[in-house]
Amino acid sequence: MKALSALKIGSGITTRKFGIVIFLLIINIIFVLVLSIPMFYTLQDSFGDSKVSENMLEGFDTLWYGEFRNEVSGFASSFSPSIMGIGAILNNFVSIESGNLFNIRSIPGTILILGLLYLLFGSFLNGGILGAFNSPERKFSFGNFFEDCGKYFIRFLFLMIIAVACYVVLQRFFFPWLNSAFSSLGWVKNATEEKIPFLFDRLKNFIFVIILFFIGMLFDYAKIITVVEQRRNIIVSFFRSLGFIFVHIIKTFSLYYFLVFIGIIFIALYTYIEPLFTTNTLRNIGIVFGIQQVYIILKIWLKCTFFSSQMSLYKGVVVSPEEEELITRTVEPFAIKEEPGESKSL
Amino acid sequence: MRLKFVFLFLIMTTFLYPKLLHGQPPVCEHIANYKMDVELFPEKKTVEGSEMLTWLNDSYYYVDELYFHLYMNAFKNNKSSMMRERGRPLKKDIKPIELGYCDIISMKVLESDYMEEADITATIEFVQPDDDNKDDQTVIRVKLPRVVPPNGEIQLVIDFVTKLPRTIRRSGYYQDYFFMAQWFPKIGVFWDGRWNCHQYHARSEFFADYGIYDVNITVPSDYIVGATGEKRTAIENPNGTITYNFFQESVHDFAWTACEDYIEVFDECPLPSGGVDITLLIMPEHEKQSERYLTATKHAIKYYSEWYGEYPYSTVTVIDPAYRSEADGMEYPTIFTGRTNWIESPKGVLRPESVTVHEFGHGYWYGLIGNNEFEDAWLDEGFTSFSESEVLETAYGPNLFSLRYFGFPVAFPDVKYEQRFTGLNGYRRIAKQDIMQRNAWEYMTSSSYDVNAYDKPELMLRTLKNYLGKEVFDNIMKTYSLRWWYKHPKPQDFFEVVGEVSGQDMNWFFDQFVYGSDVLDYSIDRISSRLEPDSIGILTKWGRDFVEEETAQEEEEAKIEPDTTLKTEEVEEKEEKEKIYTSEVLVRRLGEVKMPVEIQVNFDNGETINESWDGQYKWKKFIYKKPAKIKSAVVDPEHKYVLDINYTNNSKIVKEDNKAPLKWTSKWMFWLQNFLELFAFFS
Ligand SMILES: [Zn+2]
Repeated sequence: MKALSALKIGSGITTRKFGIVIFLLIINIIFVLVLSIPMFYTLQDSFGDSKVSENMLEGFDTLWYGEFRNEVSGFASSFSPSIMGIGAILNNFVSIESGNLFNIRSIPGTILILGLLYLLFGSFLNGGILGAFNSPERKFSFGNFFEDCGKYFIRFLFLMIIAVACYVVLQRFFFPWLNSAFSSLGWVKNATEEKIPFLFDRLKNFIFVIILFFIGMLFDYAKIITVVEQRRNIIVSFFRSLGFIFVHIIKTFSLYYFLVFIGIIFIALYTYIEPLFTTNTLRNIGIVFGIQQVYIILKIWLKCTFFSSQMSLYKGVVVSPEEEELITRTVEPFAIKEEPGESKSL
Repeated sequence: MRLKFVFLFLIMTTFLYPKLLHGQPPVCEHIANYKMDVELFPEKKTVEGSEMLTWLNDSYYYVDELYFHLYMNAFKNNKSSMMRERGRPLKKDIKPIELGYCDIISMKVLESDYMEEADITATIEFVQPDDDNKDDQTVIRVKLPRVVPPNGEIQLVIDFVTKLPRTIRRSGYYQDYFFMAQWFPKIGVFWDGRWNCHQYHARSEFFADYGIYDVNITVPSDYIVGATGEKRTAIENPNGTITYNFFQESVHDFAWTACEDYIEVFDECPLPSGGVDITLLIMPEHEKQSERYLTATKHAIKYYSEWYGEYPYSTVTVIDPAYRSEADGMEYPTIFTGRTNWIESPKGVLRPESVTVHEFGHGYWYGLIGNNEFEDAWLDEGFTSFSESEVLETAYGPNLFSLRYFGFPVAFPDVKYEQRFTGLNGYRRIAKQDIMQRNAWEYMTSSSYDVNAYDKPELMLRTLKNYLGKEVFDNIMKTYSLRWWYKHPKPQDFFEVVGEVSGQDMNWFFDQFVYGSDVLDYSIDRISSRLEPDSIGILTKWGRDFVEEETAQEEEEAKIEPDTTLKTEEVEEKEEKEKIYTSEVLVRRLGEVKMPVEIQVNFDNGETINESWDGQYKWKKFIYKKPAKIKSAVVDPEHKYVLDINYTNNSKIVKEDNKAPLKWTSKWMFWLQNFLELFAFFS
């Protein structure tokens, strides 16, 4: 199977199971409402019945923002003019790149807790999503969905913890090392112009993204393997995933980057469309909110398509005996008691 | 007779003096004149040579000792006052080549009317007038063999070696980049009967007398050199070096830079009595931003000349310093450094413009008006920040909010920072931490220095401008500027000009802001309108009249047939118009600072009432009886008092809807949705 046909099949499956995407959107909205409602009252209170309301409806009142910033603490302190337009998306990329994602010193506690809960809940839901994608012809029911959620939760939870640990190790140890390695290079160390250190910094960003995506892909396949082959031992799933990726390096990477490319298109579309509306009437506030929700739907759709198309690739690739041998050898030290799944669910 | 004289004098000072000054450029008295011959040795990281100092005692005192700054000694070890005050200590493994110092090889007094020739090197001793830190070697005192009488002039020849540090506090070397600032033995200022010669502090700048600088600089011939003043000659030497002569009168410092990488760009700015030659020395990677530097410089020259007196020097040299040179923006007479990034800021984001305009501005408030930056930092930085914003506002408009994502700048066109509020965020945060009038190195923190030297004085000047009116204020600034060119004013001198030009005693203003840390905050506490109730009870002169009236009225009403038809809309409208409302506006003074304020009250029939309040007591209530309801009220509606630490509470409107919080919550919500999805990446 080729990467593109996997993508085609996968996106077909996700689109057929669009109910899941909508369900995930609702979950996302429920989570954000936990803080968005207090945020509404915080802003309402801060604007008060002053002229700031008028100014903030027409544009952005930097004077008010200075006062607000000086007064608020906690989750409301995450409000900044940079949440406008593309900033809402870029800020988050910066958080993940700078290693601030799990850092209590740079993210208000309530938001961090909400994020961690979302992560946990996401781990729980992944079982249901992958279970549904694994049997695309089975009619969707919440019964089956939550059964799968429960079935895989502990396994996925451990996979998630390992994934987060990988990220933390990357941020805590690998990047500081890479940083000092780069800065001790003569080119960077003795630069009299910004250009060279700048380019090295971007190279660092690039390396980070590649590794991060690799982590994403590795743990996607580990989950897929757990579901498809009904694996009980996540270490086995993890190493089989590693083995599969390297044996089919071209296919796995090209599929992953096709999907990333689709994500970039979504961002570009959003960046183009969002500024077309000035949000100073209730109607336009509604339209922009709608556009934003469409973007989030596309993002969730893409997240699901990562699963479904990688699963299709995994299922569709014919593994030759030599390749299987190679994969098994990767897993060997961990595979003492592991048997392939008792029954493949249909 | 005497009274007449005083009257005449007053007229002179008020009307004629400023006019005379506006017409003719002020004259500079040259007190400290330097003739120098120095050479840069890039390998050794040293500048070696000698200076001949001609010093004039322009005081009424006899002087028998001299004080000198050896600023470079601040970088000699980690015990200097600079290093102790600075947040970042020297790194433990620092190499000797990275340290800086200034060694005097010899100091001689030449023979003159009141002096015999003598070598006074042995009398040099380090003194610490500010903090008794015996390890600090940034100030020396030398004994003279004889006293210098008032108006006496002496000459000294000083041989010295300046070892440049790895760039620190803007000065030193980095690779083949060299910046020589505060680099030579420099005499202090004999002022008010004593030597004013402060140590080099982490948070303070400088103070010096005016003079003529005639400096020969020798460097390897592939180095491009920029310096204070006019480049008069360039002579190639047989040993592969080149000697430049730079000359400038009427300045109080001399700085220079040398680097192989600079690209030289020339331009000029025409002025009524000639023009200014602009030299830009720019790093190759920034070459395409030359135009931005030059345009900003020309704007600055133009507006400063218009507003504060025509730029009197023939040159200005703009330096785009090397990366990692710790240079950023800094001012020296007729030469200054700017700053920019390799990836240029988008239009509307004023980098490098703002720093360029700022540093050029110092050429006035530090260069031409020689105030004591150690003791009155705000007279320099505050005035410079104020004028910077005025020039930027006039030439460019507001500055756009921008962020750099992965090194690439993104501007937010909807988020505009108006120049006139520059500094307010910083000031508001720690408004009460210090008093503005204080020695620069004695503020509590470096942010407090920033707030009290830059932000607060800028906002104070703008508040004063709005209070007195543009015309009066502009006249104040020009008069103050020209009156104090080439002199050493103190804050009191500025206050006197304010009083004199405005014709008002403004001490109450300066007492609150310059010598106090109180804040200004007026607010509209509430607005309300309620229907004037129907009269109940007795309103007649005598109670008994009321009873009689009442009976008569009842009889009258009984005769009229009751109206059974429904009220038409017209009637209702008419009745609504006839309704009388009692409206109240409660204005409060929340800060301790007292200033007269204006209040604007708007009614729903379109009527606007402007009120004034002396702002003295803690609150004031305005009551209106009108056939209209109150719609909004604003205290300081034109936002004249930019020092007001909370402007949100300056207005109240009758609330219409929640569109604004809804709009911004939905934007924030989208950000949070994305943020959570980011977490989900690991699930
Ligand atoms: Zn400055």
